Amino acid sequence: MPVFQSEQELYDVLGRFFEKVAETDESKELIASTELSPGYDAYVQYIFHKPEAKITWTHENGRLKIVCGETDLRPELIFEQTADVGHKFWLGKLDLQQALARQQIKVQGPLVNALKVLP
Amino acid sequence: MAKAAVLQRYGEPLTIEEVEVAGPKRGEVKVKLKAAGLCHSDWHVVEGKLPLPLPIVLGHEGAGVVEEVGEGVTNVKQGDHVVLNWVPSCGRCRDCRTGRPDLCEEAARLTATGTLPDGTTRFSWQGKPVYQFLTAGAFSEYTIVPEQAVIPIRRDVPFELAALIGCSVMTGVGAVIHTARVRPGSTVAVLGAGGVGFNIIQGAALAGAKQIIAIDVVEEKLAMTKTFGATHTVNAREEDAVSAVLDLTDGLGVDYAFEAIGRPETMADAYNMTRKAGTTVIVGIAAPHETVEINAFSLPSQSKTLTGSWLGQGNPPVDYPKLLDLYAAGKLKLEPLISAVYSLEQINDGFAALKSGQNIRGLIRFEE
Repeated sequence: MPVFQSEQELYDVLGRFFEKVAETDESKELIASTELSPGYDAYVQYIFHKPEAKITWTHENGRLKIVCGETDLRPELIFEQTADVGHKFWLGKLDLQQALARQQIKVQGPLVNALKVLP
Repeated sequence: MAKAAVLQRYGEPLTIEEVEVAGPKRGEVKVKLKAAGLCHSDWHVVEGKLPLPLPIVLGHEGAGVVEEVGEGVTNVKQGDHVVLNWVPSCGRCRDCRTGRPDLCEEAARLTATGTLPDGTTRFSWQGKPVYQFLTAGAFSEYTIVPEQAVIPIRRDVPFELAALIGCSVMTGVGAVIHTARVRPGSTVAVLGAGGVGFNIIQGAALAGAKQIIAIDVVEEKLAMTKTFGATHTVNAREEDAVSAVLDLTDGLGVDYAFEAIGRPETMADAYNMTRKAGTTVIVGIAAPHETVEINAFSLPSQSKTLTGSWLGQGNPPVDYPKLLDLYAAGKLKLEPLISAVYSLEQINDGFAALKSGQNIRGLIRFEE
């Protein structure tokens, strides 16, 4: 049984969780210290499968902004995983290196930047 | 003459035709088929995934009776019960001489050409040659094969069951025993509960695996894997197979993962659910143009063994009789592998059931 029964349920849980992350001092420091590479206007995009969903981190007025659903934003980093794996990851129950090696999470973009936006 | 199922064009149903069957030449054997299994490899040819010359008589998992032998044949005589061996190794090439008859270069050549060793076949139809799949051409009342392609067997095992030894049982059990060499107390995952997958499961049980995780998308087949030795099942339609296997193995992955489907994605899954220093065995046949994507960093950092297994790395003259002895001793299950029996005329129904994942093994029974 998948953790999330629908795209909306995923947005309600993970989207809200990311909104809380956006309020933290760490995320504010991140925005202040991170400059996007030319051609990109979003930091990271999480593509989920089963259910299909997409959450993108961009910025607005010096703050982290969370966009749930389809978007034209161009993220510098893309993480692709099943929603179950994503859920486990954000619970801190998944080792990133192992998850990458097992292709549970696929990353496109500079992995070094990913380390800044992961727990 | 013989009634045979002929593939004339890729993607089209087989047609039942009266084909001419010439007598056996030197070193060849004429077999009257009694039973033949429907395998995904046959279906791959129908789909055009394994391009071979057409028209062709498919079928390679068969058993029958020796009808006639050509000059110089010494390993069988008229009346012997035999199982077809679709890797009739030459005994002379480098692979044969180094103990790998499953990789025989000559047998591989015959597979690619659809012929007997002299470059021709004994089948013809409407005045033109008809090729034979994997040297066998088992979807025919009679076939002519090289003598290395017939393995004499004990007479007390029904032909329907003996036929299975010739592909699905040898491939599945052999992948466990010969290729992976599964050790007692190991953990095993098997992707694909089909004719081969069930035999990997029972092979792993024979080898003493403590945990055998069967993975498929058909709940009925998953339920049945437990009677063959599976300790856990994962429905890959409902949950991510890699995560499920990690959950069942304390996050370590399995010592041995076997892929018996033939899809690049499930091959990668098999690799990804294997533990560090574990072994992944690819048994399923993919189309020649397909590629598998695996994580590059994992290759040195996880030190897994990724290998393949062709006919279970078997040596048919030695292994087929052994497997039948294991059946006779009650240690191998064969009857439950047969989901449905068809007449030769119903062969397309059998392939439809195969394609839909309905059957473990569909079998053609030839009329007496």
